[in-house]
Amino acid sequence: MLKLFTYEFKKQIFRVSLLIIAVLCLVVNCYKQYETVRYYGADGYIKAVMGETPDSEKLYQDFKGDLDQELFDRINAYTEELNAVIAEGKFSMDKPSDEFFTGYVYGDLNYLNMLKDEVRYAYMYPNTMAEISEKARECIRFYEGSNDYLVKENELILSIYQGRSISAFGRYEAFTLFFDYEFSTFAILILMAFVFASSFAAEKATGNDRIIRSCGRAGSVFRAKHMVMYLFVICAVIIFALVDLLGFGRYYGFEFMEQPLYAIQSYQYAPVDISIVGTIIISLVFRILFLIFIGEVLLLISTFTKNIGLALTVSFAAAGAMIFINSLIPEYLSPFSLLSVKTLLGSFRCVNIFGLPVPSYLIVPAVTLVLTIILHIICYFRAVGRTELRKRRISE
Amino acid sequence: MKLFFYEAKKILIKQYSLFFFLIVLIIPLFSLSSAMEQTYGFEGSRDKERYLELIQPVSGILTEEKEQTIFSYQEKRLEAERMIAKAQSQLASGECTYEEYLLSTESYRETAKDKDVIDRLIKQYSYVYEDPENRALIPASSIPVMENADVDYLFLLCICFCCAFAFIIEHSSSGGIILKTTPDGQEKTMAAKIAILYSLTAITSVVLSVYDLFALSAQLPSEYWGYGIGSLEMYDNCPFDGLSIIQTFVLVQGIKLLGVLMIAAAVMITAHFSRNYTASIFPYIAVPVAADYVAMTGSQCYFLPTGLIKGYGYFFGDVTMEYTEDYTETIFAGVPAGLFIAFTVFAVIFVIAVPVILIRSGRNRITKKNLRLRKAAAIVSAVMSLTLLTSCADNTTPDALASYGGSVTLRGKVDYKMPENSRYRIDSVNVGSAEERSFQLKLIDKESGEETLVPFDPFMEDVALLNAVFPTEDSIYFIAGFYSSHSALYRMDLHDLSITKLYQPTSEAQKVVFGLAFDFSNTSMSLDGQVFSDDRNVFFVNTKGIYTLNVFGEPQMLIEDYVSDGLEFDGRCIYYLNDAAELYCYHISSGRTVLVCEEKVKGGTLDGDSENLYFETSEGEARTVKKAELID
Repeated sequence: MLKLFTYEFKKQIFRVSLLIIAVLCLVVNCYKQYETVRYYGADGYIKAVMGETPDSEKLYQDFKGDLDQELFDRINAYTEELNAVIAEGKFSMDKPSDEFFTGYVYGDLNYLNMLKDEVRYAYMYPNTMAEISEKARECIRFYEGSNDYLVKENELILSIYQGRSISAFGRYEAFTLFFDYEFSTFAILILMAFVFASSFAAEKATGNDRIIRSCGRAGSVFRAKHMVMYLFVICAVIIFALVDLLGFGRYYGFEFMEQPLYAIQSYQYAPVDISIVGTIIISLVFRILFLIFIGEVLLLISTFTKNIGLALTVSFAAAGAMIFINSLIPEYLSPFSLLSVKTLLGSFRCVNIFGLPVPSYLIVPAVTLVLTIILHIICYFRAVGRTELRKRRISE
Repeated sequence: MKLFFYEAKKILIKQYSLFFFLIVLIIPLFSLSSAMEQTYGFEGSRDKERYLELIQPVSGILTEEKEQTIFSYQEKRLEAERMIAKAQSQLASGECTYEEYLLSTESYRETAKDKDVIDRLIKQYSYVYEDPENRALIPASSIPVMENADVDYLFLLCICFCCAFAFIIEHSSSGGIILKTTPDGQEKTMAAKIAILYSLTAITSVVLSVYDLFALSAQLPSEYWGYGIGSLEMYDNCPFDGLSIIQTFVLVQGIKLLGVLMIAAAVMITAHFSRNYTASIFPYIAVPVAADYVAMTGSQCYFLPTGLIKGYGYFFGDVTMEYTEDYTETIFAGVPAGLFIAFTVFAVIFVIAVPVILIRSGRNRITKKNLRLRKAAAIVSAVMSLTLLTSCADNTTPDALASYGGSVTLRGKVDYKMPENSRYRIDSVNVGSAEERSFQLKLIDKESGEETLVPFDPFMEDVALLNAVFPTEDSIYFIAGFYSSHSALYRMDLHDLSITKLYQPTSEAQKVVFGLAFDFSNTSMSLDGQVFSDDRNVFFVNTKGIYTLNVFGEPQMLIEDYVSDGLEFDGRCIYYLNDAAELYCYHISSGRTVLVCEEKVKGGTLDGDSENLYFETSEGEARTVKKAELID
């Protein structure tokens, strides 16, 4: 089996053409990262990678860190200091001064106000969660005896959101962009179409499938091909994720990875209590699961024809059709929801399953897993089923 | 010639190319009617018609006379608004009756409704005024068909597969060896093959262009086609001077034709020399797809020769969006004209050179019938049929008669009569402070008098606005939110008092996958009027008309009319009074509208039960109309 796996791996992956396309995809991916930062990233907080460090970044560097009384005192003291300078009129509007981070008193004051808003979110977070917990308690009291499902759902809310707090003030731009970034998955999808769309079709085209079947190795080859696909997906996701993290980290830094996910304002209602590092790992698992599902689709298509061209064309058409169908079905039933962590971990969503509230971040992977297994079984019967059955009949 | 027909039969019939290309031509037909739609950026047909009516006399090259006409529109509107405000204050102070108010403001109200239309005209006028030599006032500031630069991926897939298949398949048979022995078979079969594939691609591209031409004629009348392309805001910075709208359209279609022929040639030559499907198909699909996705401003993909299949972008120039006076964002970075010309020259040379190379190095082979292809074709057709089926989903409203027993009349914004079969009375309670209001719904059991304060979802913002509460036997529908633009439509189940959000207007796309946004209708709908329902269909009223929620939970306009001071609903029909005091009956299942009374109807007098409609005419005469007669 290992020999067969190694052979399949060499045949499908160790190809100059694949290497060239992979390198091209990585280069394009880097460009896309740059474009993403340019369009969606926060300009003010970008690190000095292409020239001078923005003024607001200097101010941020001075105030980031533990969220404690000292931080508030420092912010308030500096605000007062700036107000005093303005009151005295001892400042220039034309010439930048070294006294101020931005060079100008009003520049510092404006950025400081922006900074205060961000600090306020972190500081007020326990209060926001306490309000939600209180509302959930009220709902539990209200629905007790009339709607068991809502009672359970609100109990779940209470257990998730009670007692949450944020211990540090920082910015998480690199991670926000990473979680929303889909291009690397798209690039892997293209690579997968190149590698696996013709996997079984190529053997059929040359008639090798008959030889393999007559040798009784159809099952082993089937398993080897799938193992190669799994390994390829895992490696590709990890490589691209590292490139993405390094890419976005290059612009915004990697600080505060240990902070909880809800420290990022757009994940304020994250239904899980995990750190940003944990979320990165979960996002990789989601992507791997999604791409394995796509891999199964590609392999299944390739079992239907011996025309490689047709298999490739149908694979692209199927990808388009799946994207379209995804737009019509609920998010918790679509494997495409695994693409973005924001969809599953950005807010609290539950699905009523036999009266039990099950969070959507568990439903989507489960649905994808079931679909993948179904595809795998169909693919097995298409590729080897009949031969194996015949073999069994003969041995009986 | 015999050889040509033989090859044609082989490629078109046996290799299913005709079938695939027909699919490419048939699928757009399903969306042609929607592609031909021109909304002019207005929500309803009333504004659209009025816009066309007003722009007609001022369209074309700007003159002083036309300028004066546009200003007179503006003045007329402002005057109408002033007069309405005056009449309203008279009505409020009791100086006139409601009927007198209606009569005195009848013509002004009609003019005041033109606000959006006149604002659009003024905006267009300002745009033309900046450069009157190159711009003309045309009845459309944008033409969707001339701004949509999407790649037809189905066409692209079809070209790649059919061209690769026609060239590679023969390598797997021994037909080529036989053909080599014939005196002129080799070159001639190759020439025939190229001619057929080129023709097929070109004919398909031309037919698709004809579809676009139909769409163009529907979106902009042909008499305006001769005006400069600069008349369209999207082409404000077009790098090619002096082009008219129709010239640009023809040029773009020509460029797209050249683009698809270039792809066909590239696939053929790759297939011929590599004899490898992956090498022949993959790059020509993957590159345009990836280029489309990478491009944030949409222009990067035009920096590759494959950009020719998109066409329009080469004529856009820089497209900017002015948010404020100081802040302008480039939404499309123009492509240098030199690069476009270079690509065009390259494509022409390539399209000519490839057949020459192929014919000279032609290796002919005859394909054998590929039975497996039938199965593969079935898969393709299944995928495409599925796409077709899903895009043809039925959105019709089912007949609601069975589920609803009563009748309800809505008047104005606050005065509504609850169905008699409702178990509860409803009240809203401010649970916040006087400054920061936060409402909750209070249910009062009609029998026991027991009061229940229903809590909202823990994640819901404080409800500072709670209106349009509509109870039915099983549910309560209401609009709630922190402020009006954040309001959503909710349904409370009266059995377990659970609350479900039915619809929330949003300006963002609902789903985005790989950069593709999916949005099924105009989601920027305002929720500012009444709600009513029969527990199967939910309807809501706003200033534009009456809407229902379709199967996707998106609003769909049923009646385009301003509903004022009276609406009666009995599960089968909606009877409503419009602002011209006309009483109409809208039959839900047939979509038919009937005028109930020839005379004007007095506002606030409409009422009804399950059998009859009651109202007073403007003359003060009480009327009763049997509902059954109206439906029949």
